[in-house]
Amino acid sequence: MFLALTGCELEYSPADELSNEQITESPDLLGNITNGIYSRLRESKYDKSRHFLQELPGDELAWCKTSGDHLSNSYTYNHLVNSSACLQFWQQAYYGIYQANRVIESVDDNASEEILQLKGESLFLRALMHYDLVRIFSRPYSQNPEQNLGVMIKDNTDGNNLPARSTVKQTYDFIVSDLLQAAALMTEDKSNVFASKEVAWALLARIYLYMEQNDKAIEYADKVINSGRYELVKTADLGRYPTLSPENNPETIFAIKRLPSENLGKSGIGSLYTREGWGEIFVSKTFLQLIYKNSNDQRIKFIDPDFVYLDGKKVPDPTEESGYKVNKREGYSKYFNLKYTFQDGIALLSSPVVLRLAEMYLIKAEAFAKIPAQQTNAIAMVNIIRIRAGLSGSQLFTNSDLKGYNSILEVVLDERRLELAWEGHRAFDLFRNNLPLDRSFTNNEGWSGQKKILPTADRIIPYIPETEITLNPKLKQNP
Amino acid sequence: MKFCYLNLDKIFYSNRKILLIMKFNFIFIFLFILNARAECSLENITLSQQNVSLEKVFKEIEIQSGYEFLYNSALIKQATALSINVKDVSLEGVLNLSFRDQPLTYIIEEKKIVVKESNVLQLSQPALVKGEITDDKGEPLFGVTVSIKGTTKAVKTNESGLFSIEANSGDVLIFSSIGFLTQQLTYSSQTVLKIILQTDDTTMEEVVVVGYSAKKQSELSSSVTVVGEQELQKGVTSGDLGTMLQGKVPGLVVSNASGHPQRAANIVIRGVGSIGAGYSPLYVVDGIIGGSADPSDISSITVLKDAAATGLYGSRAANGVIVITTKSGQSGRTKINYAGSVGISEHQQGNLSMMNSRELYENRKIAGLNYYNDQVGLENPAFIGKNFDEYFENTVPSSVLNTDSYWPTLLTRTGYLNKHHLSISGGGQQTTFYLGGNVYSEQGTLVGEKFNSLNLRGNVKHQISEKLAVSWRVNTGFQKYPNDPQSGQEAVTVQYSTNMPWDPIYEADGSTPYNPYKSGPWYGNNKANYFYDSEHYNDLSKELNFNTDLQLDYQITDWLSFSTSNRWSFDGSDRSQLLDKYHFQADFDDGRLSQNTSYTNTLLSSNLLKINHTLGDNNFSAILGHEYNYNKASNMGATGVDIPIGLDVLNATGSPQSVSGGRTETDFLSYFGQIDYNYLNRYFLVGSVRRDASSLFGVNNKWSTFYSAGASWIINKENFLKDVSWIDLLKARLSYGTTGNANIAPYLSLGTYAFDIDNTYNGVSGARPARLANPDLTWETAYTTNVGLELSVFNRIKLELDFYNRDNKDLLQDVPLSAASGFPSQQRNVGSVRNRGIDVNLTTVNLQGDFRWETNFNVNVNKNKVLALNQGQDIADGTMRISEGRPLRFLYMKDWAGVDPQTGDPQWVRWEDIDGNIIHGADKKEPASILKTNDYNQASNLFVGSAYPDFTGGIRNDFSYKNLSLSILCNFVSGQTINFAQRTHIDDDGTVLSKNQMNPHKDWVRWEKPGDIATHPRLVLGGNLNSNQPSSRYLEDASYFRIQNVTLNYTFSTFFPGLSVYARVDNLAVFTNYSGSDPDVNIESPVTGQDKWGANYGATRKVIFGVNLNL
Repeated sequence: MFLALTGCELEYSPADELSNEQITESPDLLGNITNGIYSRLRESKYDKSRHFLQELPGDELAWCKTSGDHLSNSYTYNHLVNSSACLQFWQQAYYGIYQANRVIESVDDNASEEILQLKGESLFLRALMHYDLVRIFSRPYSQNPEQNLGVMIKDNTDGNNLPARSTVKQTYDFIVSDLLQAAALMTEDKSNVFASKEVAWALLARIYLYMEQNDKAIEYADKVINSGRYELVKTADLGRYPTLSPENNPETIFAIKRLPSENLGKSGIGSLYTREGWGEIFVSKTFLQLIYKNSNDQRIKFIDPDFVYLDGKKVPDPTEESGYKVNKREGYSKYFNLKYTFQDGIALLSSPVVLRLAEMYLIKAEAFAKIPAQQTNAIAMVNIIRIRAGLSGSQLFTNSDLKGYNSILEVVLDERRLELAWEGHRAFDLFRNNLPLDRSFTNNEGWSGQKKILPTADRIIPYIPETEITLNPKLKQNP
Repeated sequence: MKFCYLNLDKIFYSNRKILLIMKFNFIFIFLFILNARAECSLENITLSQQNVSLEKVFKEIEIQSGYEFLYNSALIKQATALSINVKDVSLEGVLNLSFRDQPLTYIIEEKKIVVKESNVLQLSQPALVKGEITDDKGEPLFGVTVSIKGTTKAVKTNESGLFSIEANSGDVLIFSSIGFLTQQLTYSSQTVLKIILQTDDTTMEEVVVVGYSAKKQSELSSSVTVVGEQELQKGVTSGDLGTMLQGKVPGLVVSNASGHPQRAANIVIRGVGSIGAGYSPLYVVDGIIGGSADPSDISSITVLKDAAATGLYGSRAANGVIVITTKSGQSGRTKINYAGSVGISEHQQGNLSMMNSRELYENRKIAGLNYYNDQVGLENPAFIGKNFDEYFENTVPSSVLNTDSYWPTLLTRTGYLNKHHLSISGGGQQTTFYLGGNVYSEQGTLVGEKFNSLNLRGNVKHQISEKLAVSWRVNTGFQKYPNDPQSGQEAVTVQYSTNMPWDPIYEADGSTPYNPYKSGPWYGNNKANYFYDSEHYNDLSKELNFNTDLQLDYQITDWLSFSTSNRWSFDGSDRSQLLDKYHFQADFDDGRLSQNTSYTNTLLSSNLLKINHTLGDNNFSAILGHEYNYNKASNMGATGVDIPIGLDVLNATGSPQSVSGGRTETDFLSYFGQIDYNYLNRYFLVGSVRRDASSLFGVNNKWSTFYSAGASWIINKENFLKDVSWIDLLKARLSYGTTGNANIAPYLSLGTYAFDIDNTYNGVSGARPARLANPDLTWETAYTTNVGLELSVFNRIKLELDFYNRDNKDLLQDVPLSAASGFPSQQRNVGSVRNRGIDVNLTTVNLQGDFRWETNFNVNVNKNKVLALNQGQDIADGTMRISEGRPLRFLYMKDWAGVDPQTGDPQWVRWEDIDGNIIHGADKKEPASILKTNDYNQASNLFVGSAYPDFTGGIRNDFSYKNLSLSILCNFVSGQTINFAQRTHIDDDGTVLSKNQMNPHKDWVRWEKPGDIATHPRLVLGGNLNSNQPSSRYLEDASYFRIQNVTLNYTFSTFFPGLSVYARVDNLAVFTNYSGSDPDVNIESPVTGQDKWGANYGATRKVIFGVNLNL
């Protein structure tokens, strides 16, 4: 009696949690779980690690320092088996995949359209995370995909099921299958910070390009272009691209949304790139040489040189691509890049773009360039992008004038470099096309990395995190 | 049996229930009072008679007491008339008064009072001698033996210090009790004796508060250590109890006594047995679990170490128990005590010495030259035709030498501390009180560090009747301290060691702080100049804690009593962090203000039925108890951005950024019982059982039962030893029992979905699976055996030896999972850990007399071993790895194989199997070959050593000469290993230009040329083959011997009695070979104690002057 009176419970439920039963019985709450998968994308451990693990091995930037989180090991190709950046990314991706599996398993095929949409989004997110993993941790598809190891394919919620690494081909096949199923299930056109069938098609277009199924790449890129949902931003607005929030940007197909209240400030991606933040990573010399070839290229607006001023005036300097003297640090001229800053006018805020329409044209361009009978179509695609960048007349390519390039593929790859700079493509673009990467722009002092990275080098990919191998001994380490 | 307790939570939520409970409580208290009043009208007598006959007095007594007088009426006529005036006096008291001047005496037989003639014959007959025995403070003494010399006649005093014994005139009475000097008195004719026994420091006998009861130390069957008030106050001045206990209790390891003014030290009792459920002991304040007390208000601390002692706290006592008793008032004169101290503190850098501008330049120049020569050797075209000076000037301009900012000096200062404690205590027959107040303020030796606290305590006890007493205790504390808002790379402790001496602190004008963000050189990795940033932040924490106890004690009969203790605790904290728009962490937000508040309410009701009974030589006592504990924690926080300079409230922010808030609830329910038995006060047995449930655990396993048993034998009371006069005490103890550990976060058994601010996307709430469900989650249990021996000889030497073995089973572990499982980890009950060791405590009085010298030495040797883990699987834990058969904290990393004498390259150990594949220590395979490699990634991860010390202990020497005393306290740790992870940054062989370096420790040798046998690889700018990556290279033996405290005290006896003054030095010296600042780090986390980024803020050296005044 007394216990009843005083309310001794010995059972309390968490104030901010709901039970599995409460969740799965309610469509609204299933939406919350799906939202929870998206939230994984915007976590710094996913988003920021993903960005830098993709971007730092490229040749579009120069880093004047080292970092304690092992990100700089990706820049120097001096990878470590216990890299904290790799570990964080690997873990967050699989946690997200597990969340997606929860939704996928709880929805049967007879569910309402609204619920099937959620299943489709979850399938897309599962595919995206597997793709991000295989792109970073495995060798390119163009190199022996049936032998080389991909990543663990995780398609269930059984916590005791710890898979070994599938081959690269098996991993890509699994991703393609998920994306096709996702595209079929999704019927709603949510905004471009959520998945839709067009988003799934766009990722398929890129993956088919990576898999060298060029016809399919063109087919899916066309599906996106012809959907009419997207249009290239106007030439005059191009330099403002990152400042528009994704929903107001007609070109963005899919972006990871970050609200002003979620601004990571100095810890965000843009911080390392800009004067508002740490400002330690600058635009590389070779990229500057490429983009400053045409001074009216609107994409120069993504570059923010830290000019030296004397009496309020810039100081002319012919050795600088910008034509004026720029402040230096550790021997590097400080050209910042603005692709991850000033969304909605907030200095360090950005919603990283995963897929955008310009890439679809460039996917088509590259695919055409690789189909001997259709190579001529490639130049047209490149020119769509160049015209949009404000170039015209002799600044455009024609099939008869490649302006010194040896092949149409070289033209396409440089256009991808110009257009998609700092969006995490460059190193993959080179290595999957069996091209080396040139690091001659790095200073001699203090630089212990290589100057030329061959696509066959073991270390174009990092190690599988050693901690995870310990917990799942079936995982085989990269050579 | 149903018990009452106050449940304030329900009062908040349900009005109907309030009424019910209030009614219930009211009836309960009323019944007690009623009962008590009825009792007192039976016993006590009130008389007011002037000049009346004795017969008339008898009549009145008969009416009031119900006793009957038997007497010869002829005899009564011899009596003289008398006046008597008493109020509420016992029957015996009234009778003694009435017979005082009469030629008569009396005997009480059952309910009859027989009056007899007190004739001459009686003089040769024994008289009934009564008396009261107190200590020198007037406290009644219980259990004092009163014997008559040359006879076997002996009695003991009761709880009120009273005794009665039949004695003849001329008999010699002997009063003896352990802990007091024995007194003799020749009996003449007094009927009431007042005896004051003087304490005998040499035997050190104390009454020990063991939580639910108090016992004499000689009666204990368990392993406990008592730290009395005086001993506690001897030594280090601190607001932190742990710091004050360091070196005083064998088996109690206090570590990481930081130099931070407010930082609490870690306390571990007899080793760590838990992996995931914490190692903190359970605190019990004034008999109730939890609560808080300022060290100044503590009258004693008892550290309970074995199961016989901790058994009754079964459910949460697996890490040992620290029982705190606060001071209480004594009847009599009101006492006032003032204790004040002031002092200064100096920052301690230990063996760590950072480079100055020139030293760093020279170091980097050698690294640059080696790099240059390498490149020239490789025929790198960029170096051809370029001389070294040109190259190096371009890399590090010699103009850096124009600046020499020595950050370790600039970021430290002389600290001070100030402590004042005032207490008033006293009381009358029925009511006693203690009021204490304390203010403490300390300015830390690191810039910006401050701490202020205020503590007030009131303890009141009122004896409502002879049977019923009520106690009320209130303790309230307030603390205020600034936080260092620059965590991570920008923290002050990081700037201390990694900021570059080449970077200026001030502009050329010498007073305007230099902004590292402005254009211009800044060589440091972290663009942080404390002096610039500190002008643009304010980050303050405030904490308030309040607890109040209401205790009722009711003596139902002389052998049965009931006690109910009820505590409500409130802990609140408030943190406000303002970074203005010029601060580098908030400039992008135009300034940012965050405010967070949290508060916790805890209710605990403990209800005990206590039984005491003696049958001849058999003494029994027992406790039956019930306890309920409820805890609710809530928090709320908000952040706004865009705040004008000069304002610091959320209302003033331009736009809201985020809100957060949460709530958790837990409860515990327990039933327990304990029986103590002793025969002849020579053989002791104790046993207890406790059954506990907690909301923390899974539905299948909420309840668990804990038990303990103990026995002890006072051997020197046996016939074969009782004539050996030089043995004061020889006692053997044995105990075994189980205790639990429930020190985990709530809800860990539930597989729910969590909604959290981090789980939202695009402004819509999101949910993530919170964890894998574990409905079987249950208590972690420790099985403890203790064998102890106590020996005291010549009243000068006392030795305590304890051997213990504690096996913790069903360990609560956060087991790491493969990412493929979807979760980082799951809370499970797996594995077991053993701690086995010896505690030695030796106290000797080396010299007695005017010059007195006493030494206390204690040492603990503890061996820790993981017996079992989850299916034998290791648990990876950063640079440590938990693995079966090894101590819990075992370092697991690349094993340093020294410097290659030919090349100066770093080398690590590589294990290979027969096929030449790499294997790691965790593979549990024997290597076919053990090689050295200069490729970090090709090195094996190996088990490289235990972090734990071989032994720890303390030595205290107390000297006194008349009124002067000197106390020297030292402590020591031998064989502990620290992973000095910060060296990966500040001893990096040239890897980066942007962090300052430490000067080499005296034993280090840098490789310079082929053939050099060196500890440190060749310096190379840009790094030498990952030589500075974590490895056993940075493990160091951190054994130390510390002169913890020296105190010189003078007590005035004539000039100003009650006044004493002292001077003391804390942390006078540390003897160690460790290259860092202070070897006293948290051995449970030897990595974080020396964070790779920051310097350890080790204990400071303090010089303190104080006065103590008793009025």
